[in-house]
Amino acid sequence: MDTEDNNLISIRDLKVHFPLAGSAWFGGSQSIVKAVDGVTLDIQAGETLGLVGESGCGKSTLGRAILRLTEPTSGQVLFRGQDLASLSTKAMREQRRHLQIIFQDPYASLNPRMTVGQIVSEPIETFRLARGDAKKKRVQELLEMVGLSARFLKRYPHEFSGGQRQRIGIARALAVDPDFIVADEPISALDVSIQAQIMNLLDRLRREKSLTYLFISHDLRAVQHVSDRVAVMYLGKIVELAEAKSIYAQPLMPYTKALISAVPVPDPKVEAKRRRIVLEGDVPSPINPPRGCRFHTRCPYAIEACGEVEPPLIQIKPNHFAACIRISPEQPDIEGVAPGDAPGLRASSAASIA
Amino acid sequence: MEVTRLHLGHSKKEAREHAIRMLEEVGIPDAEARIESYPHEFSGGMRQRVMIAMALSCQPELLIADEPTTALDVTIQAQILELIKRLKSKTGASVILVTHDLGVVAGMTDHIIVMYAGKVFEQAPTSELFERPGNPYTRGLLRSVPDPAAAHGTLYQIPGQPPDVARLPGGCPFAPRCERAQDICRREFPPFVQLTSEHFSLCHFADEVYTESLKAA
Repeated sequence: MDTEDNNLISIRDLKVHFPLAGSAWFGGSQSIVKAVDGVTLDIQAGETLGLVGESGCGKSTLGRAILRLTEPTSGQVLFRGQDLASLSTKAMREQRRHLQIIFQDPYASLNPRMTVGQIVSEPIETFRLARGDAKKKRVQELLEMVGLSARFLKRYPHEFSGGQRQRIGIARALAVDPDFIVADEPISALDVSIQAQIMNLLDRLRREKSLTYLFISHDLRAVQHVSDRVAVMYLGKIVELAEAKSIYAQPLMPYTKALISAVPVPDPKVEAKRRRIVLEGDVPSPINPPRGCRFHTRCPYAIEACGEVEPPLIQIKPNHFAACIRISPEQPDIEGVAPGDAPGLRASSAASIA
Repeated sequence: MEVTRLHLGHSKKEAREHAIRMLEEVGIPDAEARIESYPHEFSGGMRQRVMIAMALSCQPELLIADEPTTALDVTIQAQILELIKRLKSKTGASVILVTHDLGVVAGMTDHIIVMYAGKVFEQAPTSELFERPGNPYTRGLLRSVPDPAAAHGTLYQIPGQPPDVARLPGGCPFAPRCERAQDICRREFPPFVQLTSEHFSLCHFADEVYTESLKAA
């Protein structure tokens, strides 16, 4: 990660663990859900970093932990060199002006008793950014920016469609002129024809306002379309990180390969020809995640060592990182690795010595 | 068990054995023990497998799968789609697959019907529909899906919102959002035009749209 200076946000070994209530009965050890378990990740200023993974992998928790909507258990979140994870609640509240979130469910994330005008002006009032006519003008500007008419000011959220409500949520996030936005499944609840509208809107706003996004989604097609780089998460860990183009063209880690091959392509000719990697079983529970590589229980390439050694995220190709002991910079293609061999083991021990 | 006792006149014991066989068929591990489990003890993918087992337990000739994978993760979706395909070829049942995912229909179906505001807008064999759409709505849908080959850039978007079906405009229901709508579209309900022996489109300009698609293909 040579562009250290350009990082807007640097996440260092972030962990979010939830103790399960009532599980310490009869003196047993308490169960802990390791939703995010040691994530290190840089988000560069001006980029859209896509974060994909299946439900329960911890991607939303990671997004929320960056903004401290969920408290991290340990680790750092550096925003312009300042560690957000260690700020006081009051100091963090000040910082939230620069860091905003758009939620998945546009039905649940807007207060039904507030008008659109009130919803969008609330953050402006909280941070005392404008008053009176200036505030009114700002709210109108914001609505127009997201493609809503200023006529809607006095209306309530239930009078809007899903796509329009998501636009209101976006206007609210933009009200404080943030630098960074976590978009947590912003299009998952929307109709196909509306998804394209919201993706285009987010992309236009990013260019106009020089925003930086963490775009969280389980929809790989959408993530690929909007992202500059993509991080793949599995059971609380980042398992692959690369530029969007290369991660889709040449996924390295077996989980990413399976994930990408599972996405149906809207082209019958492609669908008829392609080989789909169908994974066995479900995602294991994050309460007692598998030892070693967390994916080894479902991985068609797993060898014995995969159940013992936790693979580090290492650079396999330029700017392409993967966590898998069965590949290495010398042998990036797992298909070409000799059965039973784990070139990554040698590479990572060499790297830790250096 | 409920279904087969009712429809096939199974005894309790027969129904139980049949249910275990069905659960094995859809890939529930340890079916004999899991038959005692309650739905909340299963994962989403496993629950959908149980639903399929229930639906298939009386050897139906037609299976209607209404958004069977919409609530599931992609890797689990792949499992369920493979399962439906396998069972379909094994039992010879016909399947109506209801979905909003164009990727899913592309890989799973022989024929496609595109609906909008309660009407059939287009009907064609799958490859024909994807390669040579004869309706502006279908064409818009196909173009608004991100193309993995051409990442980034602005996506094609169909403007506006889906209509309130209780208060449809006169004329073509899609006219307010259609890029090629003319006066006639707002005035008169469109005809269901036959384009080939198996290809139909509900549009005043179906022939023109189809000709454009032929040229583009």
